[in-house]
Amino acid sequence: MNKLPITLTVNGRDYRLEVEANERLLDTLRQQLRLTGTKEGCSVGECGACSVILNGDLVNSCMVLSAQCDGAQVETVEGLGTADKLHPLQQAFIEHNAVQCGFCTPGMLMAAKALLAKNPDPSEEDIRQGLSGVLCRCTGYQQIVDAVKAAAKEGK
Amino acid sequence: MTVYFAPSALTEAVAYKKANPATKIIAGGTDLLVKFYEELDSLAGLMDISRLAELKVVRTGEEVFIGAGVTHEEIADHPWLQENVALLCQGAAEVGGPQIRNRGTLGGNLANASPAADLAAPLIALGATVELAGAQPAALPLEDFFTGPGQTKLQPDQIITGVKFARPGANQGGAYLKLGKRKAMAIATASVAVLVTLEKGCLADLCICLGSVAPVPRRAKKTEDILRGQKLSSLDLGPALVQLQAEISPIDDIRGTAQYRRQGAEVIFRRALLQAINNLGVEVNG
Repeated sequence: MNKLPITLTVNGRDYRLEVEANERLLDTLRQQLRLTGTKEGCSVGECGACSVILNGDLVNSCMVLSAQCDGAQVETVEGLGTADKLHPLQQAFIEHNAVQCGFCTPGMLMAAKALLAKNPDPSEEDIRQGLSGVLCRCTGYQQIVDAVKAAAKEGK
Repeated sequence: MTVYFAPSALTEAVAYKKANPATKIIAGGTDLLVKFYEELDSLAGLMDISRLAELKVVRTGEEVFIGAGVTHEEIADHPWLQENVALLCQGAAEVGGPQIRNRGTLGGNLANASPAADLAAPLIALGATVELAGAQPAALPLEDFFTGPGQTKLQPDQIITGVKFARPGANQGGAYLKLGKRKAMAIATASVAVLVTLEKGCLADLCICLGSVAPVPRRAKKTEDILRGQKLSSLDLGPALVQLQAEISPIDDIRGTAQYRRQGAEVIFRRALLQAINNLGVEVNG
């Protein structure tokens, strides 16, 4: 087979992997690394459920080929916190009831993390812009915006 | 089985494309992986140009060059471009959401040749030329580049390397407006870019380009002719708006009806024109 060797750092851990030429980062994360926190929603970049942070930038992992990521740093929702010590964003999502069905939550969390990394003191409009690439079909946007606002406040 | 190749220099990419014309070029992947998502196995070859440093260049000055590999986010966030070609930054900021803007590139936006492409209308209004690498380097006016939905004059052995345009003068102002179903992630139902040149209280020159209302991003030249030379104090948009309707040919599709597009195009054109003039600090009614 025509597999391509790549190295990938995911949540701080280094991996040597072999990927298909047309394998998406989403598939590598979920199927090879069993990091199933990253969700596959629409598969065409509309819903943002598969959002991860690639070399510091928020991306849809369904729209990136793993072969393009050789040497890259990837952050997924699994890297955010631990069961014992949640990330402030995760804690804020719980406190603000920002989770309904939960399917968009990993994407929302990663979008919020990418936003706060670039803009630690966002306005409500900045937050809405930062989250605009992730769809919540339960439509609980207000609670999510409130949670991000609270996490930003705490981070100051 | 898909063959994957990632060149490390533009010359290498050009040679590979010449030898393998059926190979699909991938950069950000935000269009290609959508088009092929159910048939990724059908892709014979992929050439990843996302690491070519030559394509990531932004050269500012009297002559501006933006490389094909520059992302929408990089254009939208570029302080010099914001200062000098705000209409282009507005277009880039209107693309998809943050995830798409972080990956999608200028070259991909043009190669994909959507009539709704958010960078095409502002670049055409700026009079940009598109630069192509191939057996012979070539450049052609972006206005002439698109031949139909998804169709361009790009040859199988050519690669888009970037766009070039003159920096607008101090008496030139622009605006880009997009009509969509919602703010984020919407593909334009209609869009318009306007660049105006003001002299001695007159609309000395202007360039109008509309998106999503014709098979290609469409320049409204006869509308420009009607408005060119008009005094700002007595600006009469009536005949221009009638002419605008004659220069567009919108269709019904999932994003809107032809009739809605005609009405919308008129509204956003009027707003964009006034905004472009206002951006130069001139108050005008029309």
